[in-house]
Amino acid sequence: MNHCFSFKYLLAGTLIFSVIHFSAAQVHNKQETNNYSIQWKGQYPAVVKKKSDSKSVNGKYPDEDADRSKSTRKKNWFTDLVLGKKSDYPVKPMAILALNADTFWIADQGTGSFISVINRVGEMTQFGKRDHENLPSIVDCCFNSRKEIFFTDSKLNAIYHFFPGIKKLEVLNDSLALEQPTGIAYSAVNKQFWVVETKAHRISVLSENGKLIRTLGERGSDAGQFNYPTYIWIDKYGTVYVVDAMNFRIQIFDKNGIFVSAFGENGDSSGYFSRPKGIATDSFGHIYVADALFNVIQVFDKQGELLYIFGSPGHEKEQFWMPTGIYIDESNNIYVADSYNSRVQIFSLVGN
Amino acid sequence: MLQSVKLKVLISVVCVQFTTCFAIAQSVEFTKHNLSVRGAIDGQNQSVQSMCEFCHSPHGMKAKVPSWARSNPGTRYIMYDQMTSSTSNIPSDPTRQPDGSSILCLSCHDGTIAPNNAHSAIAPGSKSNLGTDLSDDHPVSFVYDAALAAADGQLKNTPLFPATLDANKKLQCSSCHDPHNDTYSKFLVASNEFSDLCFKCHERAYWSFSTHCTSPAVWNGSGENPWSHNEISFSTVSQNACGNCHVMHTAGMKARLLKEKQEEKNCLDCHSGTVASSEKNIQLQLTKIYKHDVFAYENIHEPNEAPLVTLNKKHVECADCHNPHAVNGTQAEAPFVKGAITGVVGIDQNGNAVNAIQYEYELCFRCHSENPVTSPTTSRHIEQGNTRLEFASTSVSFHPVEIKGKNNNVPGLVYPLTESSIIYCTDCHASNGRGSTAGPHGSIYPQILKYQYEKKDNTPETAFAYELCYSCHTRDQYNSDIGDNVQRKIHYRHVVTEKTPCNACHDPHGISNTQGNMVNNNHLINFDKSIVNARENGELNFQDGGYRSGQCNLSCHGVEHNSRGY
Repeated sequence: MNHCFSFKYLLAGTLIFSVIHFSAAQVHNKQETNNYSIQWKGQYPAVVKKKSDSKSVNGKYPDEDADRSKSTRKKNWFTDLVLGKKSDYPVKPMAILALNADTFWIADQGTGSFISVINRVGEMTQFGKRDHENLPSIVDCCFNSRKEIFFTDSKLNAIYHFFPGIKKLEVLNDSLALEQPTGIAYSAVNKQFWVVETKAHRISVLSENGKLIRTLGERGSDAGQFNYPTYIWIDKYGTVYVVDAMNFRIQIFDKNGIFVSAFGENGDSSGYFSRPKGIATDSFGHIYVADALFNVIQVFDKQGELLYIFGSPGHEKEQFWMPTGIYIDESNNIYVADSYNSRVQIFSLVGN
Repeated sequence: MLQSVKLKVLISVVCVQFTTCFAIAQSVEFTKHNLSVRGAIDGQNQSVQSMCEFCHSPHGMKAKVPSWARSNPGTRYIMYDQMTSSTSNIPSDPTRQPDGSSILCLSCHDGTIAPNNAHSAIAPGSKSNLGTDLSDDHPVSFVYDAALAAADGQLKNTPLFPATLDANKKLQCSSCHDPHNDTYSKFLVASNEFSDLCFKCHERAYWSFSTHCTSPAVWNGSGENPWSHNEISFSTVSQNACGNCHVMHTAGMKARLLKEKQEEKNCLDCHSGTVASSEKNIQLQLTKIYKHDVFAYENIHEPNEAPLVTLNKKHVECADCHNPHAVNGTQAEAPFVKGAITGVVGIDQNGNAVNAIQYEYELCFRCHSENPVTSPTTSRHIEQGNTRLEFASTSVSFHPVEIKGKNNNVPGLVYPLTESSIIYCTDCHASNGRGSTAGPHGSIYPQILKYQYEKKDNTPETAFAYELCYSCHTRDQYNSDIGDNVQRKIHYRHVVTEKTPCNACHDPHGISNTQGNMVNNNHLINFDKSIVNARENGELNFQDGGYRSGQCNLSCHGVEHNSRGY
């Protein structure tokens, strides 16, 4: 009796062992498995108000008229300043920051404002009394460790510190002399801001209060050199990913700024780059790059091998019209700033 | 034989392409669009290929297959420069998004690689009046054909070279900008001096006669540079042409692509003594207390609004009276419009809308007729707020604004006025002060009067008290007690001795025949109720007795006039 009992266990054990071994072998495969996919989750605003839907009277559209005549009459500018404008939809969103799918912020270059979307309800915070005082060129944004927002304006050459709770705005270190700051990212590991200065073809590394620590890079096409770098992403390990736009490649640096690797080249087919924009990594280290001329998001591994593509040109669900910024939260929700569709689309990574 | 011909053709085509590419490349090399690394660093001429690849993606790469979706063979994207192909991946877009070559420009000109001067370029509706669209740039990515030109009314049927449309007959960034060639600055395809480039597509009625087209005025250097909104600006008004007021990208007033959001600021930037001559310093006039308050209204005026202004959209802007594309220095005689107000809409003497006024009063009737924006300040026996009815040719008595006056005998008219003269509204309502700009902009006198016009009872008679009246009616008719009954008993007695203002008895506009009659209201008689009271028996009237005679039934200064005549 004892004898049979132990044999069963032996058999079971072998079976379990071989299953584990087999799946372990799969994980160790050089190539990724096909178990991932990316699924559309939602968009903000929920319904894209297409101007062509409403009938125009004298070239004006009814909802525009109501918004404008109420909120731009001189006597109402005060309430607008205090309570915010009536329309809280983005016009040309460039970047997103998210805690989760119910709490995220949109950096909207079109109106020069930030829009918080909390539980599907948007609220715009505009900086400035009149349209022409609005920030003209918001490009990118990042959180610091306290989840305060820092964003760049590439025309005013400044980094702004925005406290989303109290809606306060101030300039981060107004003695900084930045040349067209675009991408910005925060390294939690080093407690530093890394801001890309596109015109100077370099990255400036700043302390938490904006003091310049050092700069990285110069113009060129070698490793560690840049040609119009734009967007930047720093993962939780401090690894830095830079979109080296006019060298049509992604460069990867370690947390100390030492060059690690680069991949990508100029081309008109999948796996190449044409107009790479935002970059982000998911919790598995896959690299997502938006391409504004292909109107897709391409997913790569660190070696530059193409893993996935999603999106296509258009205005419907899962389509883009010049996607720019991209953000991925801890739960692998992927937020894409679909700039000329005036919306943010949210996807999620599904798989093991 | 055929093959040989094909081969020859092929070779020559290739040669032509090469030389064209080479020629274009030579011009890109020294512009901002040469994004290549080496070219900037050591000034060496890189191979032609790598200056082009930033916009012209190299093709023929084998598409990569995504590892997570091996069933997807990968795509080759057909880029904008192959737009002539019907299988382009950047489709033509019917919903007002930029498309075609404009996408390529906007993909860098979004504040990241290049400045985002054109950050909200969206196509328009069917009219050149863009409504309250959020876009503040010249519209792109719309079909420009004869139908559009017809609907708009001020466009050429098709753009003139070198402004071109794309393969789908759409206007794109490339219609005005050639990214390879920076000869005219800002990569424009043609010089925009005198707005030559604008006029490749736009046609503006009256423009070639307008002062804004021909004026050699320059900025005198004080205050803000009125042309700072333009990246390419010239030194005279005539050279800047459209650019005096309009800006193509990041316009302050988005709907009309005007540089300033506040309507009047577009005009006052120059009409403040800094560019336009001092006679046209309107800003100065608008500092006076009584004015057409252009500052008080924003975003109500529409260029295609109805001529008759309604009270719920009450407003006044420079553009309500002036057509900036048409204004010129032509002089005229009353009642005809002068050059300053040509090409504006109005309401004629019958209350009908007109597209281009012929007479000055038609302009005033926009706001001072059926929907009067102001009320009479004198409370009169016969009340009438509609100025058009007061001055009508059928009226009982009126100042000759629309037609010659009824009275053929008006002694003491100041030369050159005669009983056949017609006058302008602006002969009385205008900015005060010698040398002030013509027109009712602002005055120190109420009702924007040009001269002093005292209305209070017990006003001592002086040349200054009734300056307005005396500007046309010689003072010695009223302040001398020599003459007939009218001069002694009526005018001298009342105006000088009793210190009664002209306004007490006379209504300076007119009395409509629906309210008054020829017995009681000739000679503009319409009593000021705060000064002239009814008799104890309730009677209050003037009765015309014929040539220079009449009688009154009223009570003034406590004195009862019982058919007191002269």
